[in-house]
Amino acid sequence: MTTVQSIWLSLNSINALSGATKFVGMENYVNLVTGDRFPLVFTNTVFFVAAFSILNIAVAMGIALLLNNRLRGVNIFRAAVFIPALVTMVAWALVSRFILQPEGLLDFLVSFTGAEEIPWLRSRWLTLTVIVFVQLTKNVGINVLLCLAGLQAVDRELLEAAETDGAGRWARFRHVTIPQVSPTLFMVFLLTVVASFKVFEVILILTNGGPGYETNVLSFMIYDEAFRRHDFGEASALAVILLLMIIVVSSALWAIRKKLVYAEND
Amino acid sequence: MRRRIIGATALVATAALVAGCAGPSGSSGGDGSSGEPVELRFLLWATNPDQLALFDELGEEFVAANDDVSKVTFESVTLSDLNTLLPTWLASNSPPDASWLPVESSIEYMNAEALVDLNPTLKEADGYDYEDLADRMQEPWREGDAQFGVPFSNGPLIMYYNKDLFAQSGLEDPSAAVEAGTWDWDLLREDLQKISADSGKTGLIFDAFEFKNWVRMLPLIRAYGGTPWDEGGEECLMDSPEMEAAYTALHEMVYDEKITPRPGQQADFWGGGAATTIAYLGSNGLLADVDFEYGVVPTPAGPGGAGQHVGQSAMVAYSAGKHTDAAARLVAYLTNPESMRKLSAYYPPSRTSLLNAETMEASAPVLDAAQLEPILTAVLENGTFTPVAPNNAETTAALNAALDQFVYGEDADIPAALQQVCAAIQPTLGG
Repeated sequence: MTTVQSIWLSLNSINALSGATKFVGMENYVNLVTGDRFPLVFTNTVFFVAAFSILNIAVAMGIALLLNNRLRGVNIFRAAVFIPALVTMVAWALVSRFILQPEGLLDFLVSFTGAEEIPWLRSRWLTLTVIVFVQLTKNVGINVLLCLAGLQAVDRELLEAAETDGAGRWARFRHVTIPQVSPTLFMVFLLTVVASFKVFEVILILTNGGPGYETNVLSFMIYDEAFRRHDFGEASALAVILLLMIIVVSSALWAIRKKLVYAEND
Repeated sequence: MRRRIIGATALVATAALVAGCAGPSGSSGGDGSSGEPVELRFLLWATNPDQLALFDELGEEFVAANDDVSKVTFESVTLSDLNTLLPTWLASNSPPDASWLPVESSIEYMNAEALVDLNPTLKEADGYDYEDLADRMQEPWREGDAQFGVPFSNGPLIMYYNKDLFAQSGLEDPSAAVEAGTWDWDLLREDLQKISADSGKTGLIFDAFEFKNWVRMLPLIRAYGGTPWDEGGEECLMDSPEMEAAYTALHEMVYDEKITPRPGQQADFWGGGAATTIAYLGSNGLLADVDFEYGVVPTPAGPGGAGQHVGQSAMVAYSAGKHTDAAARLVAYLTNPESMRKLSAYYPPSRTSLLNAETMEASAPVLDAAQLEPILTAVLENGTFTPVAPNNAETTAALNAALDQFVYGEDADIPAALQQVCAAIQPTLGG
């Protein structure tokens, strides 16, 4: 119902304060796509989703592999990795901003290398990368646990059989572990992709979408259009575009899952 | 294969549609047409429990005096939340009956016919003394004979300073400079460079500015004689020589003199981390917890004179509300002489009879009349309100973003950058 309402709103020019609406068809979409901000924001969104999703799955799997060993005290590390996931994103972002500020802790550490001060939060690609990193450190713990659960479900007999057949560590990982864990990895990746389209708090707190619109993404632009500019028509159009992007990307991933997930055809 | 992809796409789309099936929350309250007493909702951004208690008390008095009203609920939110909630509620036709509203939003709300004309109600209210409302302060809310809001708070942006840091650097106290008539930005910048060099502390913090709230620059802008757009809000004047001088001064203070924080840099005056801050008079309560000697003075003068900026908020009633008559009477009650006298314990009032240092002293419990006298003089002689644009929300968002993109960077070429700012905001102005 709400989605249908959003689609309808996106086809109207809305004066939020007077409540007046006027049907304008695709005008909001045309204004957005031909405007200065949309190409920049769209590119930023694609970059963030791609970088965050791929890095997240790689880092989560890497840490899960490390934590899957039977070492003394491994449970302490398992808990430590998960702790950031229990903190609110707002608190995490505020602490990150304190560390990343000019002449802050990170600049202090970098100064020992003799490097110039780095504008962590005042550029485009570097800042987007920093945002990816902050979001990653906060959320990777949940995916680590999911990957760890997947790893612990791997059939030990298969691994032992492969070892008996002379398969090395890499071969066992490539041909036994990965296929067994692939359904978990796929679901984790799919959920991460969908979630990363909706990144918001970290942008609001770290950069406010700036400098200018350099680190703005679609979900933040929706907020900006609706609640700062009072343009509910364009905000709804953006929301519809975001919904379509999520549907297209998740459908595409779903469509190629048979190539990615072991035994999906069975 | 293709059929399966289409099927999967349809499945995901259906799931997304189903996931969005949480309907909007309904509006509250009846329409009062049944003759039953109505309940009024009033939105404000007060957080102090004493202030909220006073509003509750005034609300109860209003209910006792009006048989057709059974209850007044005062809902407190932050100002930024108010700016988010009001348009949303108005768009969904379920606004509060009345609220506080900052002056920046006045024209936009008035043009949208979102506000009730309070004039007849105010003039008919017993003992209201309409003529006592200070004309100059009502201007933003008046259109011909109509009056769409009653200002209840007129708080100046003032300079708080750490006396200890000035004394340690052997500098003259700013209050002495005010008395001598030498209190200007050049003197302040000179002093702050010395303090920063001596103590390693930040010189000046524009409170709540953080390079994303251009309004907090107005003390500097006004001192250089600048204004962001013309009187009617039609033509961008961000690239005027006065604005160029003001933003050049800011750029020099940030990057050359290093006396005010850079974008993203955090510092705190109230914790003793800076020599001065420019904040609203209403922030003076924070002085109660500081561990240094402090003083307050008007913001410094500049080439454009002593530009004392005054922030203003009014009480308004919403035409889309369900009880517009009762809401208008509530605003009249809350701004009558007796209520405003009580409210002036917290908010600098807009009634001529209450505009004096004694009343301001009551609203600034940490400061005394002697400290406030020069500020009141500055407000009355040179006070200017926030410039208002017809499409304020859009203009403000565009202006903050453009300044952030073009002006606030270390390598900014200020004259060229301000031209880019004008190019960015001109389409949002009325012209």
